[in-house]
Amino acid sequence: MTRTKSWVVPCCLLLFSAGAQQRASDGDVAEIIFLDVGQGDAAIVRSPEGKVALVDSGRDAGILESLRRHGIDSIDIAIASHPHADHIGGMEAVIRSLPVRYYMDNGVPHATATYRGLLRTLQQSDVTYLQATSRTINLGSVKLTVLPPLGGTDNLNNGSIGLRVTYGDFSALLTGDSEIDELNHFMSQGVSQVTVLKAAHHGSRDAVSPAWLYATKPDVVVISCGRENPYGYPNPWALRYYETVASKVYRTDLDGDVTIAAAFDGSVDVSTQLRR
Amino acid sequence: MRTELYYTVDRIRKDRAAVVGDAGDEVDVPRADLPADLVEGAVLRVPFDEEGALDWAAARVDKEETERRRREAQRIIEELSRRDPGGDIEL
Repeated sequence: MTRTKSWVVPCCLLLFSAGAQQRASDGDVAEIIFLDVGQGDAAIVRSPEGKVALVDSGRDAGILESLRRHGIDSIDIAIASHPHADHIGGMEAVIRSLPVRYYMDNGVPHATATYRGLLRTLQQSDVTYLQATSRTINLGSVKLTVLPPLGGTDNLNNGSIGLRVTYGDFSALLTGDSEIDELNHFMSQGVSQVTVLKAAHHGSRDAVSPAWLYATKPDVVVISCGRENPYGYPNPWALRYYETVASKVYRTDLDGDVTIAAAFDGSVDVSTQLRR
Repeated sequence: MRTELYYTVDRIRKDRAAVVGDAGDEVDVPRADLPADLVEGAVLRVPFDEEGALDWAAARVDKEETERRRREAQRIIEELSRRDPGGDIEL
């Protein structure tokens, strides 16, 4: 069951954040917040117990303001889906500014100054590095199941870590910038139906297929992309596909931050920062 | 005075390439202005033109520097990986 509501910014923003915190501390709701970080990806997973995972970090240190807005002052685990700068650009600032216990990435070396700076910061920290092996991260009562990346490819997008988020009967799937080859790989490993699907690769046409949507059968799709981005994301063809399958499609370029509040029975409330 | 700067190809999207400078600045460059053999992760030496602007059309891939940086990243990842306790994680 999906219930949706909208909020007006900026005057209601603080009220919105406070309300979300209150719900989480009630002990019965898990949250996924897809952050509006412009053309990039960043999402927060917060357990009913207040444990926090950050999945990607947008392009720059602006992520810190997003985290502050949602009342987050420490990170239990930060996960970089893959080392493109629009996914890891803010990660160094996060690790320098907030307590972070664990960090995971796909272990694919990238030559950019962005990734090198992040690695050196990790080197100098006491953060525990995790490899993207087939494993489960128990974030309080929320389970994060790691789907190891395809590997053996020069296409960094197809090296994205997949992450299945489960809380009771609720589930969500985040796959970074995976393109068709990696989505097929995930399906071969046994991807099943989810409540919420993050559109891979910002709603690009090369990151969705009928088979993928048949396998995941999402009720809600969230596309993370920037306003008037130069790449034309989301692709109109891909957007039609998502709209055909899901009961609701949200976009961070139009909706701002998108918050999924999930109950243990699988029902979700969706609230957005902006009103369309 | 430096006559060229290093930029690394972060990602290629259709006809655009996002390149990241050593200072962390990101520039979106038309793919057609860059060398034909461009791949993600390639390190470019980008000279200045006569007016002091970056001359992307004259950029060339520095394969040696590309490999050196990739190896350095690999070495740090391997070092960090020794911190991994293995198995499932309870938070």
